[in-house]
Amino acid sequence: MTRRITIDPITRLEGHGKIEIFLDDKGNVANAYLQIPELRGFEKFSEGRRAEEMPRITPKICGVCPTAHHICSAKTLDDLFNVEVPPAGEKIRELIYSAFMFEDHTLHFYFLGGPDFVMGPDADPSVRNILGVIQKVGVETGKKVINIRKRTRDIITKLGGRVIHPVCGLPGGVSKGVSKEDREEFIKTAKDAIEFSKFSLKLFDDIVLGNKEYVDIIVGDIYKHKTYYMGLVDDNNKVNFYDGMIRVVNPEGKEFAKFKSRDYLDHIEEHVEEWSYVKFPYLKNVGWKGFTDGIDSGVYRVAPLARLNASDGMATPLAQEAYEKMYDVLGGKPAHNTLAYHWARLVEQMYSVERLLELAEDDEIMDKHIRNIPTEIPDEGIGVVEAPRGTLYHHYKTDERGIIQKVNLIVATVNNSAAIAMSVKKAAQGLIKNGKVSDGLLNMVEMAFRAYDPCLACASHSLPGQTPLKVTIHDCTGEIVRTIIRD
Amino acid sequence: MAKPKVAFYWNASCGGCEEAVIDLAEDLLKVADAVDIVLWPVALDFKKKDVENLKDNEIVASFINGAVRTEEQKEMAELLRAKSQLVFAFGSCAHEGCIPGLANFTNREGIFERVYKTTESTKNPEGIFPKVKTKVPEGELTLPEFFDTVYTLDQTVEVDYYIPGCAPPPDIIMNAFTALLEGNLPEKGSVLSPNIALCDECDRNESKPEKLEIPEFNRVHQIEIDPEKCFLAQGIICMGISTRSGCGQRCINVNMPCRGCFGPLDGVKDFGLRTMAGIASIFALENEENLSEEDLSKLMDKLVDPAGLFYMYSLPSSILRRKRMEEK
Amino acid sequence: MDNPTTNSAKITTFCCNWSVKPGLRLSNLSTDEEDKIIVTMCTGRVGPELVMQAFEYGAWGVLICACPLGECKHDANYKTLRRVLLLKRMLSQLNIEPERVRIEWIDTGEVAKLQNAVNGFYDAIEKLGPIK
Repeated sequence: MTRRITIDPITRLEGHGKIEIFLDDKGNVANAYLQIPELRGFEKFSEGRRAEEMPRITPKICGVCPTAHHICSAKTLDDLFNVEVPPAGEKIRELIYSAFMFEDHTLHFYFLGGPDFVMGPDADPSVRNILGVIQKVGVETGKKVINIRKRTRDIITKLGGRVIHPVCGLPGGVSKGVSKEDREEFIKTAKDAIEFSKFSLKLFDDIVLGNKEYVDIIVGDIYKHKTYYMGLVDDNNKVNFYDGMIRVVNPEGKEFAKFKSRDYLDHIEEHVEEWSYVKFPYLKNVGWKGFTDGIDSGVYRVAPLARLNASDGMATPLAQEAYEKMYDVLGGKPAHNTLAYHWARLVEQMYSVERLLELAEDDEIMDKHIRNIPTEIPDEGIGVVEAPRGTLYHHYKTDERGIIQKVNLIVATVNNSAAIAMSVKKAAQGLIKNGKVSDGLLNMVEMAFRAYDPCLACASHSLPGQTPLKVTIHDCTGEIVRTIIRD
Repeated sequence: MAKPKVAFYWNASCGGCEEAVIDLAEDLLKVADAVDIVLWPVALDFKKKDVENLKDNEIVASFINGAVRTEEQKEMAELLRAKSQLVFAFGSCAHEGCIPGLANFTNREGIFERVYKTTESTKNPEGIFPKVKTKVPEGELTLPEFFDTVYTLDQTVEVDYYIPGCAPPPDIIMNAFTALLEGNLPEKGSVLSPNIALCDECDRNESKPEKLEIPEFNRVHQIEIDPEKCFLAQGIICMGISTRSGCGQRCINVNMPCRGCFGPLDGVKDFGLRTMAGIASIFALENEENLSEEDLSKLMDKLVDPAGLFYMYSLPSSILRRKRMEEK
Repeated sequence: MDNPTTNSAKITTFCCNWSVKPGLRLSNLSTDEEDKIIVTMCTGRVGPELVMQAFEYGAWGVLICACPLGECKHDANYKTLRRVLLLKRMLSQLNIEPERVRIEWIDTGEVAKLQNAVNGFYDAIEKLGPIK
């Protein structure tokens, strides 16, 4: 008989997800499916809208990473109207973006993914959350997290108008410049945020690396997949969130492709399954071979660990130091350990604020020329950024009035959708044996999922977004033996 | 005395309303202290079963964000309604439908066709669409069916109060929490934000000419925008004329016009039409008497996508609610 | 469309009190309440929300009879025209035939023109049928 396990909804994720696990007659995992039960249709209902409103429409795909959509949309409009952004405009956008990457990674580490490690995977669900974390690490630390997030988010509010769904991006630049007082404040915030990032890395050292059991989980085979990796890199192949070329490395770490956003359709295709509202992107030049890893499968991964794997390092000193340490412990590049996403996220957290400080201290950011008015007739535009959860592509076609005719979106989390499904299955296979299923084990299955910080609001941009989760266990007759719902 | 039980729930939403609560920062810790949170999926591990086990009206207040798009969401809204003394529609999606409500310009079929078939990166030669029920070798998988139409919360269950905004700003949220905890909520059905048009408190008010007239229709990307001057006087559509205040002019602060996320003032039946009427009445041309109806019509064509613009946040709560999908 | 013979078109007509009402009295048009001819002090008061409310109450079409352009005492019929032009565009985006809203310019003595306008609109709307 097969048993069926449903995990629905997956808590502490932005969006909505559902994991279905089928057991065979021996009570071992026969298969596992990650389903995204929502869809919103931004690709469709954006048709007919004014192109210049897209930076205000697309952030609503996700209230957790609205800044990624906002900036990506503005960059798409630059391309659409063929207008160059003045240096100060670019720097202001990247400054906003750096502040955003920091606060978003901090949110994930402390509020969403962190509780698994800080509290331990077996902890009671009622304390396995931010309030539990604050109790364990101390109220002072909790306040520190809240305070630094607030201050970095204030940067976005100052320049973007609103931190949840910013509005400052226009084709050719931004709508507001940086004042002298603001700049001083930003510098202070960036410096404190660097200290905070040091603290986060130390906390990870103490709580996670200092605990052999956790390290074994991280490097263990249960949470491992050999896939391709994708990320945006600068001219020196260093990680960049705001701009650059898209680089893909193969499971052995060798460069497989390097391309401009304009050429994304030559490299990425998406596969459709009947049982999920989310599509499964894969490398076109390798092909879709199903939910399987290795060099012959087009499945690739994005987001923190993938970005580090796809690059030759970090462009700032402290982040580079953290990067080197991580690969030392993990035994070199590329690292295939899914749970190392948490660690890579902290390396990136450091890079984001070091970059934030560089930009805030750059005198050019005070330049009054922040925007160029487009003069050309719009036609087609493609933009890319590295969102916290991976490479994000926007692609618009318009008529000559700048009215949207077609929109295509490949949203960060969606790039990872095949890999997430595979990781969940593998974790379930490794942990659920002979029909033994406990809450703690199920949380460890969820951990595979949470490591990606999947934003299902994003993934379901094509339906309305949510993230709770349900695990259902089915027996071999299809009967539901057990259902665990988290919502 | 037992702490009052409250619930936070999300329907079809982006997670921004959750972030808005987290953005209360230290105030959030105070709120968490004063109440017993029985449900908050983004941050706490709880089960639906726990809510089902509560007595009717045992929850003092449920804050529900997001629009209603699936049967599952409708059921959850109904469950929380039954268990709660008060239901707050939290944020623009629950209040008016918001930008995801623009999906009412299309339907499920239109979305499926585009997303799973014709998008440039999709390779789907067999024309596979997600299905409510799928047979896989190991058994059967199900997905919730989603409605053709996006509904607001009060089109689904009775709502007691509205917290407007996309997302609601911290002070508006805290005022609502404080009023709830101190027991001085206003009349049922109130929108918890001042009943004053944003225009009336706008910092650019002084720059407004005595008789405000829109000389021509400009779009934000087409002109240099004077950061001191009223947007309308620059020919840029700003919806502050009909939008409820309380947002702190957050878009205007960065030199971008209002798009109406706070929704209408009390008593307005159709926010988009009211805004359009306001804009149309102040669109003034010096030589209008010399223009034919066709000339005027051509000028109006410059105001592109009027329905998408005036209903940017409120299509599901408009009189028509959605685009008619039947053949004419 | 439902059977047109059993469903005679339901139209709502808004008339200006100053230019149109005198003619309305002289015409053979019925001013019974159920025939939905509504006299307003000025068509400038006939906002798009009011027009849409008429549809909500079951109208298949809405006719606005205003004083000729340039002759409105309140200088409001240009305003009405601009609103109707935009409303038609919005309706069209929402797949409602813009022809369901019509504006006609009628002067005080133009009884026949008024009568023709109402009858002509009635015929056009009957062809369209109700909004489904």
